[in-house]
Amino acid sequence: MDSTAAERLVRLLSTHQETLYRYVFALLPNEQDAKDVVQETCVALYRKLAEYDPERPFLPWAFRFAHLEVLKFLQNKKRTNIQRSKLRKSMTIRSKNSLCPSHEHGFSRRALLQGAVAGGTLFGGFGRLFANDNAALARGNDKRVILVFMSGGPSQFETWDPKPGQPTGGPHIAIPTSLPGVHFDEFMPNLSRLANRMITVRSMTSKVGDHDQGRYVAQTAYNPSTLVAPAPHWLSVCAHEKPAVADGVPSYVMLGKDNFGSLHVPGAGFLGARHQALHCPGDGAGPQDLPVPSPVAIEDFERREELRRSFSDTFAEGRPRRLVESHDGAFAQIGGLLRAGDLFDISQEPEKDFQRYGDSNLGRDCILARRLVERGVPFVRVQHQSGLAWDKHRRAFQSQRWITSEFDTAVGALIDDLIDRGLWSSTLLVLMGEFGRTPDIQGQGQPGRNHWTKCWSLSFGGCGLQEGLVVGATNQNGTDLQDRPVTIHDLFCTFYKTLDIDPHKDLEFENRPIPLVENKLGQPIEEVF
Amino acid sequence: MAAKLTKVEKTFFVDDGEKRGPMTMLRVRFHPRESRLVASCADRRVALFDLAGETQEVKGHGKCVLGELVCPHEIGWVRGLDVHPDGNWLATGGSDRTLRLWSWQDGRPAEQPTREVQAHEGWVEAVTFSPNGKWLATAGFDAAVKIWNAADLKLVQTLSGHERYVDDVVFTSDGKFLISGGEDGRAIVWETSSWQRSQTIEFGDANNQYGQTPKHSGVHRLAVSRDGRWLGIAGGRKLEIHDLQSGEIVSSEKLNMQVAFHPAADLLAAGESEVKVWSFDAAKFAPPAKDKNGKPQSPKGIPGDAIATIKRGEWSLGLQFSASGSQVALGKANGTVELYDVS
Repeated sequence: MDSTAAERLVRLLSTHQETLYRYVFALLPNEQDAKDVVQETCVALYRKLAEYDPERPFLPWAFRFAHLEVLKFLQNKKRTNIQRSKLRKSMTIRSKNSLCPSHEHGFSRRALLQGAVAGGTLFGGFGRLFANDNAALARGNDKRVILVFMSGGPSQFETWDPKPGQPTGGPHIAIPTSLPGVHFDEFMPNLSRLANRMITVRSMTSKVGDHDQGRYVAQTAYNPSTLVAPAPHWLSVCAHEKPAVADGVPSYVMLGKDNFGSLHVPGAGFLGARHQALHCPGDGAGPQDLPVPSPVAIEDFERREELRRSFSDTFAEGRPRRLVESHDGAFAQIGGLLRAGDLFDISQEPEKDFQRYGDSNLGRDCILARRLVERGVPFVRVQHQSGLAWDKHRRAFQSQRWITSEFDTAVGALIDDLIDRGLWSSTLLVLMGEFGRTPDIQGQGQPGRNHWTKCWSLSFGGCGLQEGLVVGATNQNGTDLQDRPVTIHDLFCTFYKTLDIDPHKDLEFENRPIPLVENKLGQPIEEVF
Repeated sequence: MAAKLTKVEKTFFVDDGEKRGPMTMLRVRFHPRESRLVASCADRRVALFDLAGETQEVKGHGKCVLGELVCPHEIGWVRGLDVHPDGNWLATGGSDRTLRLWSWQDGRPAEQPTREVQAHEGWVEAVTFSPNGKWLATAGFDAAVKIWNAADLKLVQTLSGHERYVDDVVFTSDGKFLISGGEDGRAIVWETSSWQRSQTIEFGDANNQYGQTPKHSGVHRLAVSRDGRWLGIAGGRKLEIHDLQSGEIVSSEKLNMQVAFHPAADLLAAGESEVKVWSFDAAKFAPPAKDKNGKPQSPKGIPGDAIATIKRGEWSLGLQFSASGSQVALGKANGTVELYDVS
């Protein structure tokens, strides 16, 4: 089939998706079953597209296929569980071989279908996956990132590098992990259990001890003053380098509020609004003020968008195109979201998952992060509580218990699910804040710990990296580095290399080369590969 | 004649010279017979002060009596402690999960504990002896309240009823009731004859963030009046006085974290960074009146005379009257304890 025919099918399905789905749903009143059958219908339509007469109405022709697929589904349902199991297995293999090159997409046909549903105009994304060029793009973009940002500067003593018994150790005690001889904070039982799947860096060292600037550096690889234009968040860079494959699926989504200061909330910087994170308010909620997705809403939007674009084009005449690109990009993103259907609807996730992830905003955001990466969103940033929740200057240790527990419960469940669902080998999970906290329990209203950049900890894992690795060490009471310093720039080189992005590549801004990592500093932590 | 508080000139200070910040006080306890005071602080050991000790100049703190650090746990911090009513034993509970019993000889606890048990699945936050010295009650992270035989630390009873961390436990002076309070915002009254729950007082001020901030962390400290009639409950942003028998609220003030009743007079002290002391009029404690729709109005403030207001700085914890009531001790975040004579 030529690409024109495929595009025609995508357009037709885009227009009639809702009607087709409603037809099937009327016969099979189960949402997931109906989606499966609609998907089978699309496969059948795709195969028989050459027989379609464009002069005749599309829907009656499509309904015939849908009806046959419904009958086929009902017949299959009568078969034994064993037969069904075999059938599903073969379907999964078929989808792996013919539809999607990414091995995760092969593990779950339903996830693939939902990804396709989310992929714009129900099957627009699906149609794109048929196209050879997009298949190649999908192969090239089969890595994802979930960054859980521990805003405020988490204490290494009360997370990954406890020093129980030392004067600096605080009241928390340490518990063994799945790595012999390695202990974590007592309120991290899940991350302790999963230590053998993660990389723990205990020798981070940096220079910026101010929240605003520290968070800027820790999320852009740039000191604020070293670039004339704002540096982009590293996930905006990733979205720029490896955008989402499916139509309508945002490349980068941020979950939660980050409402302290302004400088430290890096956006897309000089990359422009197109690479800005799509912002969700947190607590598992999707984007705010988005109309309920429906064919009417999409039609309405497209009508207005056509008018708006004509004004935009008129304005752009004789002016640099860049002036309107961001504006257009934002509207394009809204259109994509309208077509993305239930992408953000975590109410469709099993109830037991909400218990496993914990009754917290972070728990619900981690469920949404999982849902997003499963459905094709490559880059997700989860903000753990708004403001400076990990900034424990005062009254630290009792409240630290709860934030660490909340974090451990949600993130532990997320790692478990990424592993169980076959996403672990292609998802980079990063757990970090902007710096660590002092060995002194001085605080600003004792007992607490102040900001500390000399030696601190973080953790990351997945995406095919080594597992069960502890990088670097601090001395006995945690006051200094003992081994293997790792800088922020090393860290970003490592992340970019993991994603097959050259960390020292240049981007361009106003005809100037801007390296991904400031001054091309840093080297990847080679032992993690 | 109204009661009066006079600050003792000495300040009591403890530090071990390690570079790690002050020994922020958490709880203070007078020895019932000797001129000694013990305190749990930001350390794995207990601070011991000789109240009659000589002072010396300490940089930044003026003239201080220096304390010693005793009763070492190996890891974590000592969170709760109490001295046996006969003065012969000191009990400590720590974030290391252990409850330890130390014999008291020659004005100080022994170097090694006489008994030690793994008391809770998590931090042991509160430790208190019963007035007759027979039992020891503990509470902590696992939401359980446990009753131990004070002589040998054999477990007598485990009391379940809280849903979250239990911050404090206190016996009535006649020993007939034990009250526990925690981050679930509840104070539970237990009858010691049967260890059955006699009532639950919903104090509130707890949300799903629980321990994230003290103001949302339910009950922090409890105290019972000398006649066992009134229960003081201190949370992160309010103090409530309840009728222990009925459970009804009879008074409330905007004071947080700490509360203590005088053992021999109608005196009440409460508050963290600012401590207020009242000579209260118990006859005027009364449930709030109801409006025309039957809805209770806000409870009134503590009736009587406010006799002192003491500012002591943020996060100053530790508040107790001595056994005779002649002194009150106030812990501070900077590693000091201040004493006031009560006359």
